[in-house]
Amino acid sequence: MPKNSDYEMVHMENVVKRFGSFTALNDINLSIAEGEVVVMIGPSGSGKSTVLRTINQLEKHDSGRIIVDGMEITDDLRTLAQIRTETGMVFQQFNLFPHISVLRNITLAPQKVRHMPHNEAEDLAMQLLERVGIPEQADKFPGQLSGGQQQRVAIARALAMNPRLMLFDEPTSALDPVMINEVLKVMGELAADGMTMICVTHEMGFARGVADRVIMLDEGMIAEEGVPNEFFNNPQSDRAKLFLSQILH
Amino acid sequence: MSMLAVRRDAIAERIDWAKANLFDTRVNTAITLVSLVAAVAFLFLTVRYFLFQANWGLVALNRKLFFVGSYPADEAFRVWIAMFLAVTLIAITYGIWGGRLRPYLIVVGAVAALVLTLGLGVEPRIEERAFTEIIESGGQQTTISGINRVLVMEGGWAPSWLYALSLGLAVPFGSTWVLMAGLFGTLAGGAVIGKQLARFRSNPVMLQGMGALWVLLIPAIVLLQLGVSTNSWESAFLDIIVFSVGVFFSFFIGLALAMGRVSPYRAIRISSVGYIEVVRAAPLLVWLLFATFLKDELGPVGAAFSSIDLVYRVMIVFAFFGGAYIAEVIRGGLQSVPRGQREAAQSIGLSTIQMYTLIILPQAIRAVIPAIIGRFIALWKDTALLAAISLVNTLEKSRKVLGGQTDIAEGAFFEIYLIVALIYWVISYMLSRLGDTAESRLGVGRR
Ligand SMILES: Nc1ncnc2c1ncn2[C@@H]1O[C@H](COP(=O)(O)OP(=O)(O)OP(=O)(O)O)[C@@H](O)[C@H]1O
Ligand SMILES: [Mg+2]
Repeated sequence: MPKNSDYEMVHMENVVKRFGSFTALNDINLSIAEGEVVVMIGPSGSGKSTVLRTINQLEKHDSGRIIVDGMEITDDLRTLAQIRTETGMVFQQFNLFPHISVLRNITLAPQKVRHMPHNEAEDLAMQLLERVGIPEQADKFPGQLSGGQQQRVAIARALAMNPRLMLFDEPTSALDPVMINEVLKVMGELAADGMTMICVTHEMGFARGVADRVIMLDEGMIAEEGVPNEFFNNPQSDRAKLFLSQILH
Repeated sequence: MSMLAVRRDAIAERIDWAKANLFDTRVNTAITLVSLVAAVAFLFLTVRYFLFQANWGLVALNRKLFFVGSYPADEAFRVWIAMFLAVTLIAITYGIWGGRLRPYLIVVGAVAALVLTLGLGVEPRIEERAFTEIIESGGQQTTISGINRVLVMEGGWAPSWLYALSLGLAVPFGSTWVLMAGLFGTLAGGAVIGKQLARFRSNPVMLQGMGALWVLLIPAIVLLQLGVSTNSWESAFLDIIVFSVGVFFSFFIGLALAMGRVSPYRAIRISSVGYIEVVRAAPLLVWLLFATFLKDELGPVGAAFSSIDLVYRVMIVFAFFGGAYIAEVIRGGLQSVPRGQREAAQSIGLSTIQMYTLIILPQAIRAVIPAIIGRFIALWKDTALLAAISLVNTLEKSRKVLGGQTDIAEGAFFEIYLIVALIYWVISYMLSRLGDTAESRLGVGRR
């Protein structure tokens, strides 16, 4: 189902992740093309976050292969660092750095990791803040912003490293309805610009409107996947039917 | 409503409050009255003591001993330079990050005026007066003649209690009022200059520059003293220098130990925990005694250690002892930083070192500033223990003063120990103010 190109951005092969004796990911096989937007859904505890977190190695997988943008994840720290700089992640709780200004949140990684000059980094940060619609908040601290604004700063922070792949882990679950839309709008624009995205979200409107593919996880396995309209209108597996009936009432 | 009516209402309100809370039952009325009498009596006794009974001349006479002990007078410039360095840095730092300038300048000005106008004219000295006395007993007359030492205060125009109030005792080397005035001038001027610099407060160059100066201050002060044998490091000077060096290194040792406790390497984790537990298992005094009497029991390491001057050994003990406690405090801070911070730092590609220095430690340390300051204050007061290992700290010096001048210091222990307490209090208070300021300054924008 690749969309824009045949280039494979993420490749997961027989990936297994255990926490003690509990198997969180049980033989995941996944291929995501450059420019593709994938929405991942599934019941709580099904392993959605864990999939994202193994891709940028916030969690080490136990077996299987993960290849991101042509680089295979091994114990090599340099590859790992490279993969992390090419992969932006947005968290449910924003996780902005509360002790530094909004601007500094965004300029930090370009300056410290890419050694970008101070002025250049600030120009970049301002451009990104324009893009997510809150340039006037640059000098505030994260704690002074609304949830929706914070999440947009978090997106800008991730974009500052000019990533090839963006991972979103329930970016709108901690937000009020009004704020949800402002974040989804930014995500939609990002998708339209051709960014490769994996989004864990239960925003069905977003899934139908923006996603190229929906993947449903259950108990650490891929239960079903498909094009959004097909998946929502005509789910094949019992698990998917049950899950959809629960979230759509 | 007129002003008067407003005031009358306010008074009536207070009376109502008192009636409702202090005089509502018979028992409460009795308690209130007894407390009132006790408070008035206490106040009366205190004021009478301070103004009319206390022998402040004794304090004045020995003021140099309290501050620098037997530090050689012709090496005094070393202490003065150290004081000027410290005061300059303190004042500029206050100007940049401290509170408002006006109350600060008023306090500095008031203290300066008191010290310089009241304190400096006075010259207390001991006079020896010959006496002859005839004692009659059992019809026999015996003539005794001898010398009586009395304390005389001359030259000042202020009564002795005012003199004490003036902190004239803060002049360690007698009539060096130009230097003293310079010190106050620096305190005021530095803060004013600091205020001008305040707009560069968050400029990284400024932060790093000031940080570097503070880090260099303590080594500079110690280096300045190297020409003077540590045998003559005494009194408040000794306490302050041991504390400063100890506290300075204890912070970094604590930081290293706290990082050791969360290290990915088991061996480092275990040795950090082991070190912390062992050090905290015994009181500081015991470690000080070990440091004092250690010869070659621990082989070449012990021999090398024991060849160092006792004062430096004590500094090392303070640093490593304090470090164990600071480590635990910082560990608490590390735990208070949410996991998501670490993940966010990793996800934007920061290295582990960058993650700690830029994201985790600033938040962790900020969260525990009050506790760290608390440890510092405790360490400061622990310098009182130096008296137990034959070092002459402020406390020991004051005991020597009392013991050596029994004729004129008869029963004056209260005056002397009050001054000792005052010296401990001043530094403790400055530390806690520092903590408050650091907390509110660094707390900007916290969630
Ligand atoms: N660090 C961990 N230690 C132990 N178990 C974990 C850890 N992280 C996740 N798990 C377990 O792994 C399973 C999958 O977790 P994951 O967070 O991926 O689920 P999820 O699909 O994102 O759920 P949710 O919708 O609630 O976020 C859960 O059962 C969880 O309890
Ligand atoms: Mg999750």
